Amino acid sequence: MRYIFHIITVALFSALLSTPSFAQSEVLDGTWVGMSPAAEGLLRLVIRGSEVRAFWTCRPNPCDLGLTIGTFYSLLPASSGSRAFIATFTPVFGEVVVIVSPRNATESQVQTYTRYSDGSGRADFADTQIFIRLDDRGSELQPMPPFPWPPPKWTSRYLLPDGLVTSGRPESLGTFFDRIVSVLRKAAVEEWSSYAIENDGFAIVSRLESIDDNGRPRPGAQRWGTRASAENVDSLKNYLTALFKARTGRYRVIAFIVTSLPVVAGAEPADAARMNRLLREGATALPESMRARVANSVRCEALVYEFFQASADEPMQLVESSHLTPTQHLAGAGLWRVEDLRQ
Amino acid sequence: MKDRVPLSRCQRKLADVWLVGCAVIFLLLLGQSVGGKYGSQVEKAWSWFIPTVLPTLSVIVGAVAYQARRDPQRVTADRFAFRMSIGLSLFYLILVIATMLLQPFSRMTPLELMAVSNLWLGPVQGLVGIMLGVFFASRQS
Repeated sequence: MRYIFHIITVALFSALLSTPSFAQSEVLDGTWVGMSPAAEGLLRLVIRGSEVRAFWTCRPNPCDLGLTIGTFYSLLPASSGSRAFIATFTPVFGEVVVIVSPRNATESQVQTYTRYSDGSGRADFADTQIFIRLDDRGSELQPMPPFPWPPPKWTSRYLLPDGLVTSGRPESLGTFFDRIVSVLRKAAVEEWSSYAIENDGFAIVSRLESIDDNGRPRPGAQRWGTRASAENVDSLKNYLTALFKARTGRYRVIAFIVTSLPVVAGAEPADAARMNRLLREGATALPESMRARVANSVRCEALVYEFFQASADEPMQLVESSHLTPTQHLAGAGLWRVEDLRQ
Repeated sequence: MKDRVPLSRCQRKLADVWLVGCAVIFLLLLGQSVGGKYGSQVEKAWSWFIPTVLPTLSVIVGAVAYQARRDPQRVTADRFAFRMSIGLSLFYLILVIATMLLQPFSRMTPLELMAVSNLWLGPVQGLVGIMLGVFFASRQS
């Protein structure tokens, strides 16, 4: 009799787990990207349960159409088990209806019906694309923050030779990311932020560090301090210097740009406050979907933002033309040796 | 009569104290301005200097100039008021100079320290002003 009870309990659990309501959300959970990204239209869907977030082609960075609730429909005949997931987005430019019809576990047909009501004169259109699922199972509901593109005007830049970050062979973005992070850790840089560059690559922004006139970091805690500390007044000469001379400051931020896109400076020069915001507002790591993406022809450029403070009471100003070369900055920061950089 | 002192002599002593004190502060600030201590914010540093010393200095120099045209021997002032005036003046000027000389030991920037120094300089400057008023009001022919 006890065995019969066990069999019935197991059967009931099995039946419960195989109900369509469980299966239908599970089948679409994840990040879906178009196989051939359209010039205009839907780029990416991030689905978790019936919640879905969509990203749209915009320049310079993809637009977030927002989060909405979709509905699952069984397609007749019901016995076929096929379903469609329909969601409607209402961005500022109009309305986008998205119909996702899964073909198998990793591929879906995505139909998009776009209606413009923003008075721009653009024609409404319908579009059908094949989307593939990335393997992060919906972990990207918070989208990767985009790096300002084009990047703010820098002081100097350096195209890193293959072998330091990129290898010249197709590798995943995650591999490049790990190499940069490993070098940052080796140089005792413990804080950075990462950003997506369009749909193509990523950027890592290091923390603002205080440096001397030779590009070497200031010793100890002074390296990361921007707030004036008490002056070094251990001798009369130092005291008189501190009394009559300004305490100048030199700082830098290094942004590593891994992308196949041409890197062209924007019109606006960087300022220290903006670079500090970039450090705070980015992610520390790449999402799995980005890590797994294999890049064929990316380059890694180091953009150096050098700032100078003429006195303790003045703001930091971007140095437009520095006496320090980018290799002096990169080697001075302890990231690579000069000979490695000039290979 | 014992508690009275010639006004002209008191005024000269007060003027000496204030002129020497202001000269020291002026030269310090001049050296710092030339040395680039304040960068492009030099005007802000001098804006602090002017209200810190100039009002009191003007009163004293004006009083000395006024008294010089009169018979100086006949006019006297209260000894206690004079001593208090000169004591507070010395204390105030030393405080201003110390604020400037101690800045390298502070974590505040020079202009921040100047702004904050009004907290301790303002009340003492007020007391100096009151005491000078008492001193000048105590004059008798």
